[in-house]
Amino acid sequence: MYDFLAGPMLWISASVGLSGLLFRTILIFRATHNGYTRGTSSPIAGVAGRASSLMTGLRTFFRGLSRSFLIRQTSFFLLTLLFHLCLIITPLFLTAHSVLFFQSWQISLPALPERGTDILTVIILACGMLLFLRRLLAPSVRALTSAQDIALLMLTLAPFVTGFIAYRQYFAYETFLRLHMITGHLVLMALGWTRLGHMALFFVARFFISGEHSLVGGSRLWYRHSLSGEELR
Amino acid sequence: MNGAPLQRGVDRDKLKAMLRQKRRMRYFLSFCASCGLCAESCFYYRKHGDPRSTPAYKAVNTLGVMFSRKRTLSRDDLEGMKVLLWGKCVLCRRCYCPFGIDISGMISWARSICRAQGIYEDYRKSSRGL
Ligand code: HEM
Ligand code: SF4
Ligand code: SF4
Repeated sequence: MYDFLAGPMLWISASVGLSGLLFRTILIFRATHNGYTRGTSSPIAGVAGRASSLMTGLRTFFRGLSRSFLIRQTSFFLLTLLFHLCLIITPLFLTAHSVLFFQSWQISLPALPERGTDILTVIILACGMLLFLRRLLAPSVRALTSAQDIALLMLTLAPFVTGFIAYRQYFAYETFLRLHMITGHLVLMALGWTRLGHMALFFVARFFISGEHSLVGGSRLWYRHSLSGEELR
Repeated sequence: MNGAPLQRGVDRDKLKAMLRQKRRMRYFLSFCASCGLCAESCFYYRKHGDPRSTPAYKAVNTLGVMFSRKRTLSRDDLEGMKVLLWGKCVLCRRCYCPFGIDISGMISWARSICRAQGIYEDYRKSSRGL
């Protein structure tokens, strides 16, 4: 079982997860429409428009930033940023994974020192616990929380807990190694088909939609308007 | 013959047709991380501190329920949503979500769906008046 989980299973779970992510990105993208500018546009306006578009882009970006959670709720922003960065970096650049990547596909990703990934894992678990406590203790978040939200947060943390225990060989090494691999594959698969796929929406909504608080002024719209202004489908 | 007014049901075809028109809202609901970050951007929530008035709570428990229970939703369920749709939101469109979910758009469409079923806030009867 070890050989299967450490090798071919990655093909299965990665393709299940990534295909879901791709599929849902396409679905959201297809729900948007090409934007159009109202009124007529002269060639001069076009040139002037291009010259100012860099400035406009930068201005949109900074305006978006100043209204975003980076400024509005800095501490939570830093918490969730740290959580997500470590979440993505740790599994990709872990020495033990690097060895497996090389054994299976002869690709060598840069590997972080083991002490470094240890610290990153502790950061993930600490941030995860804070997010969990916030879910339980903040009334506004608690009212929103469903069993699925808690389950997904726990599922996300599971490979890190089990991996940490297995790597440190505290106890029951074999069991925790297998649990680590199983939960890891589950997270990869869930990435495409559950709420964990939120990064798909994030990139479409924040980078391609114009207005609507996008970080860079995209050119697409959630709805298409007729010339008289009513919403078309 | 107990004198109770006969309740009309739900025009299910119309409900489903209106939900079908807003594919993006189904996707929004499937990605909402229920993180509650939108709460602080809603003046109503900030004023009253009522955990059942955060933007996501209002959208998920109205439009979200319409999507997930479109086959079984009763007229009473829709009537019950009036408190959230009209009582706790003024559609000022200030709510902000890190994913760019158009929360007020969803609340607004849920209102439209209710109106199309003949359910709306009767301001003459509302306790606070207008
Ligand atoms: C780069 C892409 C991603 C972006 C932009 C993103 C963004 C966000 C945002 C804005 C939130 C809400 C704030 C919060 O509750 O922390 C969130 C929540 C969450 N994300 Fe991500 N995310 C990304 C990738 C991922 C990945 C790959 C995973 C897991 C494998 C993940 C797991 C989670 C979890 C579990 C939560 C809920 C935390 C809670 O319970 O409050 N995210 N994400
Ligand atoms: S609508 Fe956006 S900000 Fe509000 S809970 Fe959902 S994901 Fe979070
Ligand atoms: S539109 Fe409604 S939910 Fe959004 S900020 Fe205004 S009152 Fe709050």
